Amino acid sequence: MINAQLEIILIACITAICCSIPGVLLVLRRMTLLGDAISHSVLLGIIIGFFIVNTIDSPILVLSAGIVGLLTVVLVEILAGTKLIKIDAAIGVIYPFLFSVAVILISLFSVQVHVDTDAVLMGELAFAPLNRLEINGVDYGAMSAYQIGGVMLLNIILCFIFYKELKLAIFDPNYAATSGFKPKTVLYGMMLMVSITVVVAFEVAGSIMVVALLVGPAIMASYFTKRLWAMFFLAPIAGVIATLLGYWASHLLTVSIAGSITTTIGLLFMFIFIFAPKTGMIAKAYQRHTMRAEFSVNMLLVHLWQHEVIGDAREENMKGTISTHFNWNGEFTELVLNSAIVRGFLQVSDDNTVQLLPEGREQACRAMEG
Amino acid sequence: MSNNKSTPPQGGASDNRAATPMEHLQRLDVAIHVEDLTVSFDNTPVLWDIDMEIPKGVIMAVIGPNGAGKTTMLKSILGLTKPNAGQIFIFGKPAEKQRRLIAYVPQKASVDWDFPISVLDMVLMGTYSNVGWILRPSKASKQRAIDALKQVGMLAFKDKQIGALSGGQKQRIFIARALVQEADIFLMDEPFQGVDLATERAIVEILHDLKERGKTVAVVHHDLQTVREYFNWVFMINVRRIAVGPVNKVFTEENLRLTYGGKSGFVERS
Repeated sequence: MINAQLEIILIACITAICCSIPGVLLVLRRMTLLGDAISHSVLLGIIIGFFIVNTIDSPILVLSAGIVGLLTVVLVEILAGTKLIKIDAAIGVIYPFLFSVAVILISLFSVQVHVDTDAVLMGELAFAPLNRLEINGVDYGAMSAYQIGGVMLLNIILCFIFYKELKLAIFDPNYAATSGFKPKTVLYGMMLMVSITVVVAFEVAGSIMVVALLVGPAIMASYFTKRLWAMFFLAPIAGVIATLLGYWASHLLTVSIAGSITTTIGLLFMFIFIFAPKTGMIAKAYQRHTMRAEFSVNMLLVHLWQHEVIGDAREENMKGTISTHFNWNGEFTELVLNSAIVRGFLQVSDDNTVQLLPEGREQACRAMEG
Repeated sequence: MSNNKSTPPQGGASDNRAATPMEHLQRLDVAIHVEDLTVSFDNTPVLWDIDMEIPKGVIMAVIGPNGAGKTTMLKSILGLTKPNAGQIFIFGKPAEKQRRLIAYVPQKASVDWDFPISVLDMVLMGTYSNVGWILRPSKASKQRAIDALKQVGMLAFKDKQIGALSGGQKQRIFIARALVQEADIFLMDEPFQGVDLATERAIVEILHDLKERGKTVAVVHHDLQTVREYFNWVFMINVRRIAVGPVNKVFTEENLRLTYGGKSGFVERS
């Protein structure tokens, strides 16, 4: 493996960590679509920045793009705030507009920016190491690693310092306001953080991968923890795992790196969605099944007990009557009976009468008490 | 005092003049004073020229039909809604500077219960206003949160994710969060909404405990049958102020008719 490849992997992993941290906040605020919007509208900011400084490698571009990203958020919130239009529609109207204005500006002034459709959508991860950080002729590595690394550190530090404020402002903005915190300021600050992250990440990874990295790892983390602080650890880990797997796949198949990583995020999500312990689809189905079986056992015990008390157990507590009574098929009746027999709740005598044992009576009482 | 010549003569037996409005506002036995409060959404008045005050130490029911402006009233006091006109004073000072003295219990539906925090985390949020920016809650704050959970009978649930709770339990931890805030005034928006009888009794007990400790409580309430039993003060509102005062004086059939437009179906028992 050559150095350039290692550098690409490193840059991709840093990008994954960098995006997944604000992604957690975005997912919890239920504003993932805004990540999508920002990742497109920042193009306008980049072009405006380019008009100001006439070069593509200036920090001014990051700033101007960040501001346009924030402007997107403000415009969306103003539109949605009028209650005349829903937030998803507001997003859908604003960002194609800002993005297209940028496209028109590019073609009108034939700006020599290496911005073409492919680059915007899928980024140029493979070319990321080409731009070097050189000081006095010494090569310190890829420029983008430093840029994204810097934003990653900023995100980590900001989320650490303002952890409490972010948590409160997202969870209960009204309560935050009455507690003397300024939820609007905190939330706009958070969106500025998202904007800057997207701008810097988008240059190497492209908008689709950035959106996938913002949303995917955070969602995956939510399948494994119900604690915010843990999500801040698990989401970057999920992002890095997806990135490594995706890079490996792109190497095997010799396809676009960003495309491969983004696909892997989707596949990994589906895998977790289905197989996650406790919260995955299969685990949930299993829980429903066992709960139904457990409930059925209790229902049967209560039924038997009831008839014992009434005194018509002879007629009612027969195997056949039970299945017609509960509308169970023979197979399910056997299953429930067996489960109850194994647990010592009842016994079935030779004439097919079902008799409660003391244990079963106790369990019936417990079930009725809830 | 004698060298400050601009100070007007203070109090004294000889001072028989009536209190000026400003002096009246500064009385410390008035927890909340609302003057000429008007709030509208898109030119539809929600609150029309409300004047009222809540004396310190009462438990007050805020009653009125749907859309009467009960929640808007609380939100205006809290500064969450911008009024078109009017002034609000808390313990004699403009509300803006005094909001930390208020603990707010919002409606259950106002937050996202899937949010990844534990019951203890949520109750700890009540200490944030005293902790301030950036700093983390101290050990003492955590102890207060645990004590509050104990008080509402929810200590056993402290490590559960908040979404795993039932409606009544959610209401209990909302109240626990307000309790740890060490506020002087409690504003609660429908704390009895969708809770079982046991929880309702527990909440009432907490309200009376707060009253014992000299706190002031205002509760948006819907069950007219229990107003007499739970509260000693009542504020009847339907966009305009209908009546405010001690329950045994103002909670009358006449005022109920004015509040609910004769549709309350409530026959006063006396």
